[in-house]
Amino acid sequence: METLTEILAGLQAAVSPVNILYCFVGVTLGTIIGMLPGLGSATGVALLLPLTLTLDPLSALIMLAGIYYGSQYGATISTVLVATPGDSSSAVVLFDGYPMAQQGRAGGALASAAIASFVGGTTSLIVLMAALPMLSAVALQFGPPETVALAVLGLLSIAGFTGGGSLVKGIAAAAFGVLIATIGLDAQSGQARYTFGRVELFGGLGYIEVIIGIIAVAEVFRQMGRGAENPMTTGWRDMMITRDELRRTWRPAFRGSAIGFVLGILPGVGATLASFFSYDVEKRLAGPRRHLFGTGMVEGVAGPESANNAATNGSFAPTLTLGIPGSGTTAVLLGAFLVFGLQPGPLLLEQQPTIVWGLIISFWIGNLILLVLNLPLAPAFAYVLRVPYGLMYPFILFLCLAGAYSLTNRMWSVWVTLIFGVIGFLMQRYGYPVIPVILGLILGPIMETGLARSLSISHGDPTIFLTRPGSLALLLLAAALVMAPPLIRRIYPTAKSQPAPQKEARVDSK
Amino acid sequence: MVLVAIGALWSWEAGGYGYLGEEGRLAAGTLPALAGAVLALCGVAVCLSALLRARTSGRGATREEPAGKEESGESPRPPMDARLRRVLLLCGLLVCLLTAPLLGFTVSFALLTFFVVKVLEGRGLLLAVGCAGAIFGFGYLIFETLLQVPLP
Repeated sequence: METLTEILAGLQAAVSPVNILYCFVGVTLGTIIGMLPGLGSATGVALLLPLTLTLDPLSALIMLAGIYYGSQYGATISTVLVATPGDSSSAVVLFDGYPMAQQGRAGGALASAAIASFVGGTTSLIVLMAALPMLSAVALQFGPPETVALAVLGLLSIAGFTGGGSLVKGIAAAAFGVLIATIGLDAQSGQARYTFGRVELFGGLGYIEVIIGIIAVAEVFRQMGRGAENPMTTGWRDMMITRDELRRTWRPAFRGSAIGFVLGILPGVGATLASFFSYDVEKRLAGPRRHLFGTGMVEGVAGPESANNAATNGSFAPTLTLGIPGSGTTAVLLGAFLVFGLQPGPLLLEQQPTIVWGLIISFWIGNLILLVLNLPLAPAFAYVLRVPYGLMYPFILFLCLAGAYSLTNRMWSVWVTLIFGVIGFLMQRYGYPVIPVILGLILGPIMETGLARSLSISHGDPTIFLTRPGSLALLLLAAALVMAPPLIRRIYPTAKSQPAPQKEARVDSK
Repeated sequence: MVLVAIGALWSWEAGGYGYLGEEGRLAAGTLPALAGAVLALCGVAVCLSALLRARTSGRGATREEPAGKEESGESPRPPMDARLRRVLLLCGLLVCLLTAPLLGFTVSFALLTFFVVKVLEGRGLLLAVGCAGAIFGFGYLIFETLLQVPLP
């Protein structure tokens, strides 16, 4: 009953005109950002985060979450119309979405994707709303050793899944994040660490400055030679989905929802694996039509797109209840929560029920806005792709650096952002993922406090982490998740052995 | 090697804060030392794997292949080498940020935009002036007027 009252309070907050407006702004900006190959959802959220600092926390989070799932759909538009996935999670849509567009069925592909996204978003939200109180109740039983184990799980799972094939590089990036988190005053002893006498460093490095630098500024350096795209033109009449395509959309959409949610709630797994897995399932279920996959099958668009959106929603479950991000973009959003003074974790639902439920309900409103917006307007959005990147990146850099300045009203923040931009670029250039750095930065202090408390409880005995069932289970899960990617790649090589699309694709993997 | 150096340096410096507290409890240097050690170990592992790869493939180079894809060549007229452009952009940003307290953030950035569009991107003068003006207007309207950020 109490939960129902809290959900109703969240609903009331989510449907307020101001929050609907911010949701609309978020999904619209997200759609545009997602379409641009140089900007993924993580970059988009990092880039626009400073602009939300003056807003009420719920409105800001609604807008940022809108950017997240809006960009997932935007990435699909660019995948279908220019064979250039704006995000790695949309890459699989290329196999059938782009051939559909080449056959003059771009409308069918985009409409099917929009409907499947909506189905995936809605069903996963219902499950998320049912699961969240249970997950929170379990998480509330956690003590300091479990918190440390959870932080280790989060760091290793993200490092393992975003390492671009190299787990060692992922772990190195996470360790680097923990290192920079130790700059500043030690919370336990009050001792200044690695400050080199600079007063600015006493408070540590700001999350948001580092996030903007290492994701958004670094991406500008990486992408600055990219030119304009030439999207396939799609008329209003072509946007109509045929009855046959609609009929073939429903089942893959529901199957994709289940796959996406289950994989999305696993920390670090994210939407990319979910969409590839869903594609493979649809292919296996197609029977004699299996060989047609890769030539323009609507099931190859609907299933992955639904899984992608469901995984996006699912990734919020570990973020909100455990404080462990389920994906790269939720790692950035985790930073946003902290900026607004909210600590994602077991206590969040108990302490801020209106914000949590309001945010979750806004996902559904956002999905509805996306459906209404994108069914008729996808071709219009595609015109954004005609703007050359060379004219866009000065604006992106300005937003990044002026946004960094607005955090503290000091040039120091701007310099930190620029330095981390260069570090992020060098990391990406040499194959190091940047998301684990953010996670290390966020989870480092949590881990240190948990470690201090745990060792205090056990009088310095480190076996406390192995003797408590909760922490042992989490550490074993961490070990399993670390070993999972190589195993998955060995057992399930689909992602690498898909049919080549008819136009060479550029995938921005983050 | 950079990772090994950073990790080792961090761990070494952590010694000054104390590796372990009383009764095996956490000291200010424990976590930095641990994280530094992990980073250094990862660095060693990366070096070893690069060396092994170089030996097995018969190539002498140990340098990692860039993970990020290079430009796809769709720019209308790439005026200069990508690496040079990145260096020039970085230099431009440094100059922009150093002059921002004197000229003002939006003015410095508008000048940087002009330089980027005209020189680095090889676009026309009018377009460069237009983009610089747009940045100035955008900064003034969004940050200074709407968000009331006192940009320098």
